[in-house]
Amino acid sequence: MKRTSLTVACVLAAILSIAPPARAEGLHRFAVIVGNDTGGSDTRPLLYARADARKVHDILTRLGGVAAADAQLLLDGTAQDLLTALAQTERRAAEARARGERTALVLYYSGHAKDGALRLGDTRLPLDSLRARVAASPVDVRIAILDSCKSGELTRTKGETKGARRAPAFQIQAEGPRDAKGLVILTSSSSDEDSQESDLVGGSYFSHHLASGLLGGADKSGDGRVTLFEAYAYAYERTVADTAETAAGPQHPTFSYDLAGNGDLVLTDVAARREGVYLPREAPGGVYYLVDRQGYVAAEIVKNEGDRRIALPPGRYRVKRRLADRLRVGEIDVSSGQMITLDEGRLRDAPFSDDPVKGAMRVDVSRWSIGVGGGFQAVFDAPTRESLFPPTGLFGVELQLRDFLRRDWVWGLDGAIGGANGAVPLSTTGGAAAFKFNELSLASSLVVEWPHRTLTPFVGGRLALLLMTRKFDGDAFPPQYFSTLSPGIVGGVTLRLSRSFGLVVRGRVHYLLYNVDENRSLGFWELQTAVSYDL
Amino acid sequence: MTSRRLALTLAVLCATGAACGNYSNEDLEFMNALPESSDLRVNMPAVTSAVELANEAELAKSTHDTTRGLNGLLMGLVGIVDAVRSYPPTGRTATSRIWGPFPTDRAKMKNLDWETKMIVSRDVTDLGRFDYEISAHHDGAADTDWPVLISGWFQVGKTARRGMGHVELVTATARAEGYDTSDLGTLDHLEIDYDTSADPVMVTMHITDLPAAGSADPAPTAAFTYAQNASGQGEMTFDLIGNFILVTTAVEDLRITSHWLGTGEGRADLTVISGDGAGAQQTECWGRSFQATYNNKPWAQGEDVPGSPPGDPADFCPVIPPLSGP
Repeated sequence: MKRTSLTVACVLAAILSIAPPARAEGLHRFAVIVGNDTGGSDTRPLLYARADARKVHDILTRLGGVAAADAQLLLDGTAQDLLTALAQTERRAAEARARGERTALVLYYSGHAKDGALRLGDTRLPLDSLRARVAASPVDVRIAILDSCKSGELTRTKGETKGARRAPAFQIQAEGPRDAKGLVILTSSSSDEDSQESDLVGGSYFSHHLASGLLGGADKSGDGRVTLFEAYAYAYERTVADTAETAAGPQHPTFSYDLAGNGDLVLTDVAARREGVYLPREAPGGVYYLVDRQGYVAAEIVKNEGDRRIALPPGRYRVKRRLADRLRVGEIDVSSGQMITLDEGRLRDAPFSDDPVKGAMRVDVSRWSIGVGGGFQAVFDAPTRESLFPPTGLFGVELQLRDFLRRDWVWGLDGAIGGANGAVPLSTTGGAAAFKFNELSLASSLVVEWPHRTLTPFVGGRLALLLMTRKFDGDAFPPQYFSTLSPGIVGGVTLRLSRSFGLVVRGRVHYLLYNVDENRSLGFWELQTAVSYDL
Repeated sequence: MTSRRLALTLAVLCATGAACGNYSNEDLEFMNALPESSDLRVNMPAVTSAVELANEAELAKSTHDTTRGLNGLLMGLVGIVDAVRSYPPTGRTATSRIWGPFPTDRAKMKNLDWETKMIVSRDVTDLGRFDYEISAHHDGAADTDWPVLISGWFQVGKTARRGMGHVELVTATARAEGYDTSDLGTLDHLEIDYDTSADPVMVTMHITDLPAAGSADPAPTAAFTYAQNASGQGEMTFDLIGNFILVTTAVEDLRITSHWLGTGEGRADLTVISGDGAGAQQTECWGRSFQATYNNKPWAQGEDVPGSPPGDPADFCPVIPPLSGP
């Protein structure tokens, strides 16, 4: 299998070297891009499927000739949502075709697949029906890219063998009988392989390398355009190389086509964009990693003898090139509308311990979020609640770090302040001493969460440092304070409101050791709601 | 590295988070058992203008002077308790609270080598009974040598008001060990009994001064009984025992009983119970401006008001009903 696919890649690469210049003009492109981290209760949530979809959406709309209005990005949708989006896009494509335009449809999917069906949350879409649906789409060129486990089944359903058929050169032209028409399918793995994600790159291996290729890394011809075959060959080679040593074993993307005509199909035009990083011919060869500000490897480019244009969006990037005994690292700012040349003088020697990609991994797998909210706290014991620690409203902020210690573990720091009025009955006078109660809570928590599509339940432990004070009306008595460490448990659920915002509802139960008058074991509960924002 | 950072964070939290504080309901009970000077203060309508002061009746002035003196003494005695109770206890047992030891007030530059403490104890068989004492300790003295300066007790009342109590100041022991009591003047011994559990509140004081230096006369003593209700009506009886009339060396017992209304009008009766002039009596009444409306002073008839003889006091004195609750 591995040998076969490698052969295919070599053949494709050879074909590319003699292919005529690719053209994209005159082809009205549409795209449906789907990402879903969840695949039902019998699957473990993915981390980066939605991120992969966003990345591909960005590349196709920025470099791939797909107008924003012609691209549908569907995140965490159902199978029906996918079919609906496909139908809407097909209608638009049919209208364009009716106007005499040539049309192309790109369907990209990143998510779960199992038992011969795509898994979109709790819904399923059989691969057979998907293939039939795409094949029947009323467009000239159909391109389906599936990044999911055992996605090679999609190519096999056509009766092909695992791996890819040899692809002839073809060219898409605006008019004429030689325009390419038909169906192309790219999958991230063969029919019996899992598709793997990488915390290092913040995505799946396949989509990461496909994206790097589309950004310019795959432009082997050096003409500033990345064709379908170039992109596949690049993604294939890099994916196999990166997964060769993983625990899950090597992953072999597959390629299937059923096209009439010849020539190659240009997927991205990095030269026309004139924005990004330019690796001149004289720059040393090797693999260049460009890490964005969030710590993700935005592009992983293999440079050989020729030059390379990497059509990165504006921003600051850390650059790394690995040598046998050291790293070459540096930073580069890409301004809007500028192609910045990365010459060797921008880089400096650095030990392996300063590997920005290694560092990025730590950041990549961790996600910070902040939240603000309010809640209510009360001691279980009624007499204590009525005279010692009155029920209190709390307003707080929290900072959470996800997947830092372990995947799906959330380490949180939170602080809250609150106040209430209370009164102590005094047996010595028969009256009561009214007081104003204040509380400051600083806490650290560690919870485990089970991410789902919209609801993420969590449960864990919490350790709070409580500082409670009270001041008596009229200064009848001196102010009093009490501080203690209070362990507790926490549980709740996060409702995902949008990509970055969530609504958190949680309950806490804490132990409180009170030791001033006497040693007493108390407990209190809290109910809290907060709005969280992922940084 | 990650685990170390986490462990360090938790260690810091633990180190700073040991359960501690003075957050206590019981403390309030102990502190509340201590008398406040405002509870015991003598409240008589005050002279408010220089004209009133110039024309103030003799016994009204004596009563005002006495109340000011008593209140001053209360501030000196119970004020110490007030000062201590403004801080939370520094020690606790199941049946007691301890304040101190504290250094003495350095600002006064007195008793610099002394420290004081207060202990309030609750009776285990009668949770409404509290005993307390303020004692002083001289540096270098035996650890158990804490002569008591102030002692007292408090009994929770059965009504919604406070209760009854006793405070006693004894300077002899501490003074004998070198404690400077000059702030208390010639005061040797002061006892206060009070009952604030019902209206009217009652306060009784017994004061014993130190003998005058070089005098063969016994130390003067005084006893005051004061009662007041919520409307401001009050009465005070004070007995002064000493050689006040220097005709002979006999010790006189003078008793003055004053009554007043919340509006300021009042009446005082002075009786020489024993000693020189025994049996002599003076009756004086005053109006809202404290000017005498009646004065019958047999040994100085020129001071009689409205004239000599002054006539029937019922015609010139305010009607003051027996003291009771509002």
